[in-house]
Amino acid sequence: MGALWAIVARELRGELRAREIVPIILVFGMLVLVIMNFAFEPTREESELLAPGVLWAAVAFSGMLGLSRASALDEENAAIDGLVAAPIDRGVLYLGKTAANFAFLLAAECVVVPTFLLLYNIAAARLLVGVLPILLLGTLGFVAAGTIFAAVAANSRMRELLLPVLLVPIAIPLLLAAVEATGIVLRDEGTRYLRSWVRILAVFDVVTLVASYLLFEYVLED
Amino acid sequence: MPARRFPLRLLIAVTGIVVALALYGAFLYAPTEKTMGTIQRIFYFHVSAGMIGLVAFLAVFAGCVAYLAKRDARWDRFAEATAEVGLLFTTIVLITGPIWAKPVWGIWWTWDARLTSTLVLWFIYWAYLLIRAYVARPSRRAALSSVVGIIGALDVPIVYFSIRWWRTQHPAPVIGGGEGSGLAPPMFHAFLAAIVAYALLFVVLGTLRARLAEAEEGVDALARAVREATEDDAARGAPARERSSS
Repeated sequence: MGALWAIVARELRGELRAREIVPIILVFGMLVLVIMNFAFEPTREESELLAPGVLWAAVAFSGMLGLSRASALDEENAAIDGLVAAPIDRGVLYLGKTAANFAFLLAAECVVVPTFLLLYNIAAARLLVGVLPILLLGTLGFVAAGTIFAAVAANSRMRELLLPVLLVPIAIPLLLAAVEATGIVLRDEGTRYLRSWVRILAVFDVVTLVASYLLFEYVLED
Repeated sequence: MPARRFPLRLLIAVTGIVVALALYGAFLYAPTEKTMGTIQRIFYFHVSAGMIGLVAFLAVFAGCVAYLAKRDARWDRFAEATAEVGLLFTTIVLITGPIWAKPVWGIWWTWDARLTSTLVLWFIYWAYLLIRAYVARPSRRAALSSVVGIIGALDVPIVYFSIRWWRTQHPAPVIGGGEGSGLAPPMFHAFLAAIVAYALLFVVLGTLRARLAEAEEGVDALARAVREATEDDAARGAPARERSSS
């Protein structure tokens, strides 16, 4: 799909030049890990209990910051108007932006997740095999909802400030499923419940992607 | 949809009678529950408000879809009105719940499946109404809020299932009985009256709210027309008329 790739390439090129999104997500994500440690001061055992929530709090908070910045960049110099003028289906534009935001968040997670393993004393091998699919599905769903809501928020008088109150309520089932699934993997509790949580993640991703793909044109219209 | 010849006055009168009946039913007609005592009477208001609050969410969803399909401002007002009344009723649920829970369970709040889902639903209502509050232009406001309303409504079943699974994994403190089990007939009558009262209130408040929104849009359109007219005069060099402070 040429158009889709063109959008993704444009977003990635912009970020490579300006570097205004990934560094913010990365540093803030690590800060959340540190703040949570101060908040709970977990012992070794407590750390295992708290870890899934800490990881997803870091992903969600820092991810929202990145999504806000990405959407603010679109508004600067009316860059979004140029994109809208391009002969591209609006749904494809949404998918391209989502793919780019997904890449940004994953790039930051490449640093945040190893830092998390280190700070919370978690065995890396188990996590990387088991948590990786959860991390991918969870991040994708968060970004899928976040990309369309960031575009909605950008049209409001509050701009990006409105993003959290739109995104977090909708993302609650996603974050709940991600935290629970991550916890099951970390505590090595087998696949009985894991399957239902992964199913929720997948359903959330598919529903959000399809609905947003169809609805994005209404967000951009003038 | 608020049709022009909707017999609102008659409906308000009927609603008033049914609300009075429901109050009589809840406070006097229904017997006092044996174990919980008088506090159980809050159940008539709590559960029925919750049911209508859920129905309201379906109405918001329908209004949002219909607006994007038909581009008729009436559907947008329908969605706005049902969302506001739905939020009001859900707030009633969240206030009456803890009042009942404190003496019966000993705690104001527990992360039980139904409580948690209702709380999330309440926040989704807020998301829909907040985007409306911060977008000024009516056509943009309608389109953007419809997008939020549709995605929010699609999210509701996912919220429901995820929270139910969460609760089956970590069992909550055992809640004696379950509210619906074994209602005595007079209690059931009082409960039915409360549901009908809330349903009628929902229609009345929703209709009034939709009419208010229509009036607001009319005023906005007039203000816009006046502004444009004065600007035209100013452009032609005519003495500028007094402008409104807004």
